[in-house]
Amino acid sequence: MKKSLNQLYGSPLPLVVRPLPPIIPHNPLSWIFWLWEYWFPEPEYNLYDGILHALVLPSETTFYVRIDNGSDINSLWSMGFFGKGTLSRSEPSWYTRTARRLGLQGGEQMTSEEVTAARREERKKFKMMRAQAEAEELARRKKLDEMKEVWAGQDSDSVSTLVDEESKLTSTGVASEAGDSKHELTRTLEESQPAQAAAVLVESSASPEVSGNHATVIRFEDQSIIDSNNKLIQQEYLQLMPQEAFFLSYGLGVLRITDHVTGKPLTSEELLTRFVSANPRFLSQYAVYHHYRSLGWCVRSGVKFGSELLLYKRGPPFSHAEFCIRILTSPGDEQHDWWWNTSIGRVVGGVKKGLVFCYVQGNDTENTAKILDASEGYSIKDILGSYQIREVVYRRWIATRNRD
Amino acid sequence: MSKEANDADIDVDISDEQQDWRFLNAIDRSGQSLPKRGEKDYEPDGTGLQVSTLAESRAAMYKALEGERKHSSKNHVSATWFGYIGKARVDVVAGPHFMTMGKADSSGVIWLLPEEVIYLVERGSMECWWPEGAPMSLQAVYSTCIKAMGDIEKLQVYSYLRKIGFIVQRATSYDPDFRVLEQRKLEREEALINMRNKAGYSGLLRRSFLMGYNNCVVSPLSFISRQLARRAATSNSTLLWRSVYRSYESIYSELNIIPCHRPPHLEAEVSDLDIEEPAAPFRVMFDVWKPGSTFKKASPGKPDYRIVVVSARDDKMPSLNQTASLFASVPVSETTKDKSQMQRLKEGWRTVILAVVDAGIISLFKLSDVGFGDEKMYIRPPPKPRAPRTRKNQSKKS
Repeated sequence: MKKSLNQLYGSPLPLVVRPLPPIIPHNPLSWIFWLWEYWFPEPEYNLYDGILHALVLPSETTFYVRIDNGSDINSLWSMGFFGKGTLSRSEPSWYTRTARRLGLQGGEQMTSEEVTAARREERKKFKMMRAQAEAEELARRKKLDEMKEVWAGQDSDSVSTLVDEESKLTSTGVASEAGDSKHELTRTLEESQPAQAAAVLVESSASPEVSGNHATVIRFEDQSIIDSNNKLIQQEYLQLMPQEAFFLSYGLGVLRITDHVTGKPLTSEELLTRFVSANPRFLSQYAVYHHYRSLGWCVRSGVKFGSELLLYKRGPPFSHAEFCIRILTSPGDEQHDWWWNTSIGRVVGGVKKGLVFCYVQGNDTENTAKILDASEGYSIKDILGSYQIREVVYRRWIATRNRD
Repeated sequence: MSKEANDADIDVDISDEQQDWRFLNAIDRSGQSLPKRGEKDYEPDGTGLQVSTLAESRAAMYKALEGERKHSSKNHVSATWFGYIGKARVDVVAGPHFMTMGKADSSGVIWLLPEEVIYLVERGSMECWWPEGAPMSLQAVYSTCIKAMGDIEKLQVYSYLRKIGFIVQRATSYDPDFRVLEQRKLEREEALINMRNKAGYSGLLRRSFLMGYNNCVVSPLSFISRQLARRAATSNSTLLWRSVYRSYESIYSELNIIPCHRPPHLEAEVSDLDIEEPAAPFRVMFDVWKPGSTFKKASPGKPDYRIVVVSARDDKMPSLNQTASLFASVPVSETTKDKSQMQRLKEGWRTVILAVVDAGIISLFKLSDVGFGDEKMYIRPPPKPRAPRTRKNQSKKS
């Protein structure tokens, strides 16, 4: 499982790296080869295509960038985990899921949604088993009470057996037996691998050859998404956050963004003008995004956890996010009260992530004005370099757990 | 408790749980080790077992409370409160409390701070007298000592930490006129001299060398061909512009354009030039040592934790400047450099504990001075399936 993850998601960024060939000291040919590669490298770069869409509302305009090309979507997802599939949880997997449902080609892979579904199923089973164990325990106790009543007036012999039985229940019985069975159940749950369960699920129901025993239902509306060659037509696209789009186009230079109205490619400056006009805090937010990306983190939106950004060590398929980043601009919105602080801290602590308050110092108003007033030239690098970042980690500290 | 279990349970507060008081019975019987807590029931299930368990537990609690509390005349402590200096003079010294509490003056007389007076009187360990020779009531102790402390929050934090076993001392920065940063500067100079003596200076040099080191391999021709490559393709000014990159390291180091805070990793690296003296309430109030530590009043050593007391209703979260001042007022943790990368990011190089008090309810936060800029996630290669072998081969190749 892990091995295939490394193969699938080997590159941390959607860029091709060409390492220099090795030099073997006793082989002069390798020297020439090395020199040739050093002096005359073959330029190697990817260029993906994105389209900038504007969502114009009476009060404000929001921009988003979408990627339509299937191979571009795959590359941007698998190399750095950029964007979100519009019909999926995060990784664009609609095609795979739907192809499997309809028994068409392309549904052989297992998707993360299915892994989650299998895990939920396992948990449900575990909870049922636990409830059953608890019910049995209750029945046992009730039976004991009944026996007590029946034997209340009887001879001392049976009473002493009863006492024995009860002491078993109270001293070791209840505490350890019930505890053990719970531990046992927990262990079974931990050992069972939802991914494997999902794989079995996929194998049994998915591949078109096997689907004979699993009747495929093609609904009326499904016909409009199947082409004449009996292939599924892609309905999903990748949506990028403005920060992601700007990082890919300006930072890495691998994304060419076209305005969907004019159909012309946008320069970094043109793109930035639109983003800052829609969001006066874009520059400081981008500076934070860029900061963590440039340190090798996989950065995604943290809206599900009450924070701006999430930091993954390598990416969502490898591990859960390690940190939640809450951006505070300083001076400005940095002085929140403690109720605000604990509401975020408890949410983030509850999902076992670290809470980082990321203080950004920089003048968004001035820089935004500089960008919008195109009369003066400016360097994007200099503007971003004028921001300063400092992190402070807050963690709930429990005195009774820190006494050693 | 094993380290792992400790980590897993770190967010569980035992005092949040309902007690099963039967464990007190077990103490009575065996006398020594603490018994385990029972399983918690969520609702009445109508069985005799549950009813009898509850009754037993209740009886155990009453029995524990009924126990007679005795004072032997050997351990009798009494003190006299002097309002004009805000301290109590211990007249009769006895018992183990003075190993960790009170401060002796030049003539050997021990003086207690108001929080210490309340703590000792409250737990029935000391009698307090007016200077006129009349005994002070509990109410009188509370009203005079709280007034001498200034506010009740500090007292609440002190007695909470004392009751769960910590050794608590007033920090020097408790005094608002004390210049903490100047003191820290003196300590730092001392540490620097010590470090030079120990020849540990190489570590510092190595780090500054690494910071300036850039392992980006650039080929001159690719510089020329840049117009043909990336920029031409996008007809755009982008941050990365080379046509060929030899490693991800070189890409990341070129992407690194946002200045960020780098916390000092050693005392000698601290350079808090334009940092202001921390102002109340964001000053360290109490130095705290763990209960098991071999604490000596004369040479207490470095505290395990430093506590700042804040009122939840009167004070907001500290601003960036206030936080920076607070971190500057405490020394760099000596253990952080030996920790794993992820732990360094979670625990930081300097830490302060903030006790936020709302009407007696104490909520504690650990603030850590961390530097994500120092921890490059891309340096460690992704774990390989056959780790030791492949890594060896790779290093040979390069």
